[in-house]
Amino acid sequence: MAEPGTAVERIRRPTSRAPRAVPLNVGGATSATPTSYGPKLRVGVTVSALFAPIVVASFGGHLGPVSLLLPLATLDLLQSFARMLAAYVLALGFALVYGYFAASRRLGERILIPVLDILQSVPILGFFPVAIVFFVQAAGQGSWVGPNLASIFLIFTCMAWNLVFGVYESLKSLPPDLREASESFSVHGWQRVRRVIVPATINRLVYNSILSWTAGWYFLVAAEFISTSAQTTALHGIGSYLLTAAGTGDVDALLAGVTVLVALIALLDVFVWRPLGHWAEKYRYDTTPSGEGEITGGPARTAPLRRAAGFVYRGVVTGVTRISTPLVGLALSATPARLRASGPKVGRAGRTVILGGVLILTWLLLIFLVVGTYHVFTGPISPLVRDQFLLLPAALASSFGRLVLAYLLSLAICLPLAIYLVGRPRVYRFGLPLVEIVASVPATALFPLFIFSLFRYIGFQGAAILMLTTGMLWYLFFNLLFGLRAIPPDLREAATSFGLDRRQYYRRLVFPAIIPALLTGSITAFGGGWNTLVIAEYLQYGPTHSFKVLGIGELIDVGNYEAGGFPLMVAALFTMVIAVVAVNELLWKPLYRRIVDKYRYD
Amino acid sequence: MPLIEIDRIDKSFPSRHGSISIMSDISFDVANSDFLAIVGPSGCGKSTLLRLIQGLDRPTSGTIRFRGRPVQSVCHEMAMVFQNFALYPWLTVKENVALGLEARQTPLDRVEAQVERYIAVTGLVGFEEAYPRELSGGMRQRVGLARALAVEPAVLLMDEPFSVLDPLTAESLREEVLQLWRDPQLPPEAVVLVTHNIEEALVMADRIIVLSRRPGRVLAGVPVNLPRPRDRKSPAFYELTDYVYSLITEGRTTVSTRGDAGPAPTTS
Repeated sequence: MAEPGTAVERIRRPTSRAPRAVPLNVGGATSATPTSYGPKLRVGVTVSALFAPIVVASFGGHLGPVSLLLPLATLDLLQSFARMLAAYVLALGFALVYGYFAASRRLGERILIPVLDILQSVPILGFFPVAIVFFVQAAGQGSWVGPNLASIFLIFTCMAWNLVFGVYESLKSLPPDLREASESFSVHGWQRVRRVIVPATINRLVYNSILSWTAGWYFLVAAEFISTSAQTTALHGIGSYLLTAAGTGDVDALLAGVTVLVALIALLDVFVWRPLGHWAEKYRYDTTPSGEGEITGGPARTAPLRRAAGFVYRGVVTGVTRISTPLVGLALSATPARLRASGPKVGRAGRTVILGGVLILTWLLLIFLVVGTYHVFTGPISPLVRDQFLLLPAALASSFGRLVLAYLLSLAICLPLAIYLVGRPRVYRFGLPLVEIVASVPATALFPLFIFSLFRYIGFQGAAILMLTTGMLWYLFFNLLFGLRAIPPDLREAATSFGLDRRQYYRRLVFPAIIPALLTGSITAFGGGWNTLVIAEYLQYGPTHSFKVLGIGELIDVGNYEAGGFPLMVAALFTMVIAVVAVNELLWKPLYRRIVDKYRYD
Repeated sequence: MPLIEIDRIDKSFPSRHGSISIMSDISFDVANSDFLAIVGPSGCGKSTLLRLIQGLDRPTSGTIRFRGRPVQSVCHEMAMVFQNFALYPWLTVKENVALGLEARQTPLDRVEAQVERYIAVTGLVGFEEAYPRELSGGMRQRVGLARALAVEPAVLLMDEPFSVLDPLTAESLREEVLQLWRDPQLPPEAVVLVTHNIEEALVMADRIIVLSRRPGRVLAGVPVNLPRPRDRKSPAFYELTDYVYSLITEGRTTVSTRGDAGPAPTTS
């Protein structure tokens, strides 16, 4: 459909573009004016495009033992990058289509969102064996295509859900008057996609893309070291490079690998994500009502933060409605109607008991189903694996204990750091980008280094807790940071105006004000923690070295690696999912309900 | 000696293109028992000026004196009523009103007594245990007012206190503030009200400082000698409204012809 607006747009657009001649060297591009990010972006794309053929060419010949030559770290890194890029493009396309249908079709919403809920509460490493078997079989044994596809698929699974929710939520939270206006002017079809749907999602999509990439790097190590009981296939990539370096104890190679990885992440941040973030700013539609235009701090500087704060708070609302895990809904609807009818009389304690009972029963049923199904279709479970089944409760308990310790450690680090940064605008301005880059360095890449240098002092338990901390820390940190930044300036001003001293300032203003952010941060940190368990409790590097502590994540891995361990893996996975649901339903949801109304601003 | 002296104040903020001057060369006094209104167009720095007076912010140059002494830090003999109330959502009405008293290390029984008194004065009895979000806008601003009055300030600073309320609520709250102001038992020796509503300024204030567009300068100090309660329908009220309005809309040209404190038209 050709509408008059398009023609005008087409004529006007070239003039608003940045100058065509773009120097190919990075240094030249940085001197571009801070407002035009087009050139920078293009340099970034060009640089990666130049390397693409080399990378693609190098895919074929790599299935032998991983070499540790220093320059190869870079080549491996670029292979990993290519995999990440492929996974991201797939995830993006998937997110747009899936998110759109979930947001715009009633039936779609009823089915697609609960499905996604389940998918995202399963730790990605649970997909491992299935994905490997499927892709390797599909591509033919010994082909380099299969393992690569499996790896890309695994990265896809840790990138996609977050993007889908981004699309879904930004379409759902489109202000009703915008939707009404587009209906009133009968904006339909392609024009609707171009003028309403895509612009509405861009801002959130860019932000969530950054998160997806961070998650992608984090799980890359695991996703490249594809190993099952049947075969061990080390793909060439920075993840397997680091693991092999750790396995052979080559610290120089390890450091070289970490260096190039951090360099690439920093480059991407500066040349891709930051410019994109600035560009996406103009698609922001949650316009906060501003005062009468008095200058108090310069809008340009505060805008991204306000945006970020908005995400955090919208995250609280949508995140917690999302916690209403469909599994529990099913379980509850299965309880006798009589029990539910007496709901108010049962009270909170009664509800907790019933819910706990339902969850334990569901758990036993699932375990029984797993064992039974395996028995029927494959045969009896080997005694070795059966013994490990008995470890499930103890494993869960020790994993949870580790999570709690790691959480407390994270909190002890994050709260003072966030308060310190927010209190000092100058440090904040330089410190935040630094912290962002540090945060985007995947701790999994450093884990081999951790084990090497630290476990002598803190033991395997300590190393596991430290690893979990790295998987939880940043969720907490950024939520707290944005919570602190989101304290309305007039509340701060009132505190100053009425002369609250330091102690009163924290007691009356700061601590109450960050409670919602602390809660969101805690919920997401525990989410990250559950996912990290799979990596933090078991790591096999090199043929002889392995690191393991008793835990639910460890049992998932053991089930994955041991012959005949498949039912154990599935059972451990179910145990973890039940535990996640239990913590959500029995801890976070009641807490959230009690807290959020009191502590939110209007 | 005037209560507050504002002496050739400049204020500018750093920005990407050098510094932006918000206000320049502002001078005026606030006398004891003065009800002063500061009016001006959007962005002329009215609210900033109010913050400079209490010492929440520093002027770039010039001095502000309170009882003859320069304001170096936040002055706790003044209390502020905020445009968007600035109430702490997690504190009850009572706790919000007690905020300033707590900060002054007031003994507990005295806090109780003061809070009770000013809750009564502002018509909040029965709402002591409510949270701000459970109150209407008008009621919230009463809490803001009670909180400010409870510390018994010498100067009450009001930053567009009625601008986010609906017109009817705003009108009745204005009346009540005036009643409180007339009560000699109640604290503030002076009130400084910032508003962009000329009528509001004329209904409430004894004197109006008119600021120009950014950078804000004092266009005129207009005494309001109309009898109270002010009759908005009187010709004199109209005339004065027109005069202030024309000062603001004509902006700079008026400055050059009339100077700092131009004579007001004759008022009855």
